[in-house]
Amino acid sequence: MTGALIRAVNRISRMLPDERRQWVEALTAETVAVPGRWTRLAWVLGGLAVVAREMARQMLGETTRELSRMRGYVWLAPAVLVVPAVLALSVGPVPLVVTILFGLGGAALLLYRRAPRGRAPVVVYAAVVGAAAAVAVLTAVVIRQYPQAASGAGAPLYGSVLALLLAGYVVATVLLTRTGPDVARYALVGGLVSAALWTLAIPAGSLYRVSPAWLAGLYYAGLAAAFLGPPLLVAASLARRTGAAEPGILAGAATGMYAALSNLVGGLVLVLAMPERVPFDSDVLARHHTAADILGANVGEDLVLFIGLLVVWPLIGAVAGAVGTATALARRATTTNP
Amino acid sequence: MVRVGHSPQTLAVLAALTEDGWHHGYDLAKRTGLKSGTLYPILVRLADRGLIEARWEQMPPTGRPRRHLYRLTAQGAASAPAQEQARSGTPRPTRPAVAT
Repeated sequence: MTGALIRAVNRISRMLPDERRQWVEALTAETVAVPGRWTRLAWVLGGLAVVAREMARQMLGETTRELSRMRGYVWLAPAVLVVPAVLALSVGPVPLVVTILFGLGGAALLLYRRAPRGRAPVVVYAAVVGAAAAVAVLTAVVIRQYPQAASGAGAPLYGSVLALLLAGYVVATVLLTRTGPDVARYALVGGLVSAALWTLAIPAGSLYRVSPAWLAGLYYAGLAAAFLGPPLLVAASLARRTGAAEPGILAGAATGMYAALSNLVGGLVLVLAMPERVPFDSDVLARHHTAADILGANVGEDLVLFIGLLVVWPLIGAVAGAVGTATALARRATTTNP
Repeated sequence: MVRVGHSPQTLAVLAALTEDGWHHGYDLAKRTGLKSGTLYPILVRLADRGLIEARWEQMPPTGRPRRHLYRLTAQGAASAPAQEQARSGTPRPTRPAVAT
């Protein structure tokens, strides 16, 4: 057990820079001198505390450095407050598009000097900016056709959160491409696959009732696989290639991010393409009877779900990525040291 | 300039290192009674500040991994508890030696 724990601690310590990792190796190298099974176990567990402390220190240092570099853009803070203020006054198509594009513009300005370089990062960056702009335009078109979609009391809040999240996605993408072009590239492909399966499966499940219990079970298992599978596989693939944990976990989170963004675009396209055939919510169908009402209510109520996924999918993707990374690194270690 | 005002744990580590020669982690843990999760961050910090130097054991015995060894630098020796005590006249902190 102690041996397995030592291997785990040493493996996790790979996330640290070399000059820091040697301290964790120094700690685990002492284990043989420690008498007593439980005392030895406690000694190795101390290694986890050292890794956690070092990682926290690194992250704090990086955050402080990033913030100090961005101090010239402090004036953007009031601008961020303008987004909710404008949307609080009106959630029509024009204010929504203007505020989302304003948010994207702010993010682009913020990153002007730090634009991604190299083909793959630029492609990923362009895809994310394009998807965010597409969300703005598609949402505006839907609201223009079906004003009841934005008539709810929560619409200004949802619109503001959406605008800020999209800007955050752009910033996160640039930071991600700096970690390594492969992370962003793998994550974009995985995210597209995940979203394609999920976005099409949700309305399909509503259209074609999956009534037998075994079929329903199979359907939900398929949904779970579409949601979790790509982040897990992308992370495992990167971890196996690089032998490091950080790219894998980051790729899992980024896969979730791009899946949620693609899902939002796909959902809006589906709603516009099949206004009477995309009943996302059976409660909505029970309460509304005309196509316009059904669509308006669907868009209004399901927008919350879509926005929620923009937050939740990356987090769950990071967890799935950690599982995939750990599995891949364990297999790699077994292959290297049979 | 060496920062003054070390924590009692850091002073205990510096005190344990004042004896001549190189020391390894478990030896320091025994002398100071500190757990590994406390001891190593202190060693990292002391090394960052140039108060101790560290090196890997050159020729470890067969069947045991090489150890990381530590000793005070001249700067570290100047800030060690015995010297601080001599300067300030206050007694050096003592800790029970609890094996970890």
